[in-house]
Amino acid sequence: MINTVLLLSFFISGCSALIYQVSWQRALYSLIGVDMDSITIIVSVFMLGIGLGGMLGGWLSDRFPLRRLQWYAGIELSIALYGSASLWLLRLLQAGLADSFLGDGAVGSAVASFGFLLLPTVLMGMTLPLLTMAFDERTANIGVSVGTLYFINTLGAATGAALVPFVLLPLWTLPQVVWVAVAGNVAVVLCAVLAAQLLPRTTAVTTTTGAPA
Amino acid sequence: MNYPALLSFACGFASLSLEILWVRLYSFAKLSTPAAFGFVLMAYLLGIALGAHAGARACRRADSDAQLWEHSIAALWLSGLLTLVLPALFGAMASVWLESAVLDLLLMATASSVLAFVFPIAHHLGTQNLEGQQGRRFALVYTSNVAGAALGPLVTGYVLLHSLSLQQSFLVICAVQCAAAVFFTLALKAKPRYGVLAGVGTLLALGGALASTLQDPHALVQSVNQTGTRAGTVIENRHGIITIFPEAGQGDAVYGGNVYDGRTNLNPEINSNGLERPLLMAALQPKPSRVLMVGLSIGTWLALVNEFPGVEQVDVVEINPGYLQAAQAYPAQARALQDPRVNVVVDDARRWLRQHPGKQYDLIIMNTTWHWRANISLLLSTEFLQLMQAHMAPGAVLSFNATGSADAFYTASKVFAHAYRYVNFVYAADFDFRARKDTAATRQLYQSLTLGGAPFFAANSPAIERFVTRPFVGIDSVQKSAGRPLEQITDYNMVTEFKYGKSLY
Repeated sequence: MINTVLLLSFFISGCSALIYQVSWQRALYSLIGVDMDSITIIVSVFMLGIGLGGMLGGWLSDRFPLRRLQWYAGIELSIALYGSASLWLLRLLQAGLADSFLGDGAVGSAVASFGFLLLPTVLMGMTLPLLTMAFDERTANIGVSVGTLYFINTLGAATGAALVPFVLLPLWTLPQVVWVAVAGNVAVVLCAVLAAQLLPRTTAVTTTTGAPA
Repeated sequence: MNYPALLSFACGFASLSLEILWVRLYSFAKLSTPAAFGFVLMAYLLGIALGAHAGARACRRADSDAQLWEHSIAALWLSGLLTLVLPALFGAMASVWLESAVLDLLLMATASSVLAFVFPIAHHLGTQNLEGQQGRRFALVYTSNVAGAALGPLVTGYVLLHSLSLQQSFLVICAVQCAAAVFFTLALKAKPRYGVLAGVGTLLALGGALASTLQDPHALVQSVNQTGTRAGTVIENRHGIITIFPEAGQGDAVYGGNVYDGRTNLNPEINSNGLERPLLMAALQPKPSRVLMVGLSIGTWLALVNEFPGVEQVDVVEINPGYLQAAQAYPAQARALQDPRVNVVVDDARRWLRQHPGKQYDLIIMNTTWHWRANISLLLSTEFLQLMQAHMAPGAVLSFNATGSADAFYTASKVFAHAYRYVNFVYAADFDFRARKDTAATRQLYQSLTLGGAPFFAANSPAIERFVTRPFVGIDSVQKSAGRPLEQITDYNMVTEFKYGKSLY
């Protein structure tokens, strides 16, 4: 049960992440331009943030082995908060950038993307190591844990990537699409809280049934 | 050396590089339709998911680390082989008009799945038996993958696509994967049994592809170009792909991103490219001293605008420098670019206009592409038209190609006090300019125009009468015939792209 809840949460998390990525990428185009430089900057900052988040998530996972799910829930809640304010923040950034010494040029674009994307992508990157370690407590095989979680997370991401152009944007505006992603994060928080509630009982059951007869 | 982290890095690098190349190839084949990017992303992620799942199964079943290394090396070889085979297969399908969402999805998912297969294996190899440090060791392998994934787009976007063709770039990424397979085989003294077979096959394919690329570096682009005929000129750079098709008597046809962009014709008697549309701007603004052109294309309209009486300065903002290169083959266009009054800027128009808030223009001509193409809303939206409006001097007129979009026309009519359609162009200003079109002064102006020192129109050309008598169309009549309420395009709703845009299949 607990694994199912965690897998479901990670599916939704991946879906929300891709909805954010496509939406933010689109919103950033209007700020920093739509040329190859902008696209490359955005993709690279996204990856950088996820990488840094991965390191941080790994460290947290070792530092707080009993509170991995709580951290996971907290991080998803933070992503939801950031997501809900993201387009407003972007407008602030646009106004601030025009008045700053950096200006609206290539350097300003890079700094704007970096500033806007770093925090949420670090948060997103933190989730995989935390959840993998939490999951591995039951599977005891890192390859299996990360493979399973990555499978589910990426399946969610593929769903998110398809939902934006084929379902969400034909129906709604960009801010409304971002709210769909925020709702996804909130659902993940609920799943993580539920999993954390189930954790002690599941462990106890596993211990009992796993005991030699 | 942490070989699992290195393996993870190599896979991340190759995977994201390939994703960039597939986005380029598929978007080109699908005419830059907005959903093309999402489709590639979906297919690619689906492949990653399935590959990771298979990798997890391999971790569960493997007897030893050596076996997992063997799997990984074989996967690198196989991915290298697929890097050559799958794009060629995609091109072959496109060249016979075989369009199938399922087949395309399968091709791209297969491309990403093999490298994703290695992902859990690398984490397994790099993390096991490290009680208390598993999180950090896991993070190291994971971050290595992400670092490779961050570097991949940078190298591919900035270096490979800048200096090589798409086909050559696929070849380089294939070579990178082969090199990685050789490296891990040697470094780990692995005994790759079935890997040898995959390696030999891949190296043979690489040799064949290299020979083919030397013969025609643009063969892949040629196979997916929508006209079905060979382009005479292909210009590939990191900003896009330009193809030019020679057409005797009509002027060469120029395609950007695989969709019609314009022609080189500058003869109004032939008029294969609607020259009356930019020409009308000379009549609507009799004192066009400062001109802004958003989008150069091959430079045909620039050559014409330079001849408008009173033009003192022309700023051209073009996002793809490849057009400057392409224009050099056409004397009139090349001459227009060398005109000392012309200042060409390679930049994103919106970004450039924001950076130059004080610039004011008497004429603005936007050579906009099809209203259904990806990111076109950024040029057709209310926000962008308002930005343009802020750069218009008193009495200025703006025109853009609405390419048949009633919503684009409607949007202009909401931003400007006056907006009217002439052929498929929308002309907008804060005053009513319609009376300036069909006048004796306009006929006189057209008759006196020259191009490269020769008269632009032939003596007593019937084209002049045809041009000036074509009517303006108001938004009310377009609204009546639209069959639905027209919608104002914004940066946030992008209606011409996603709601009423062109479907992928």
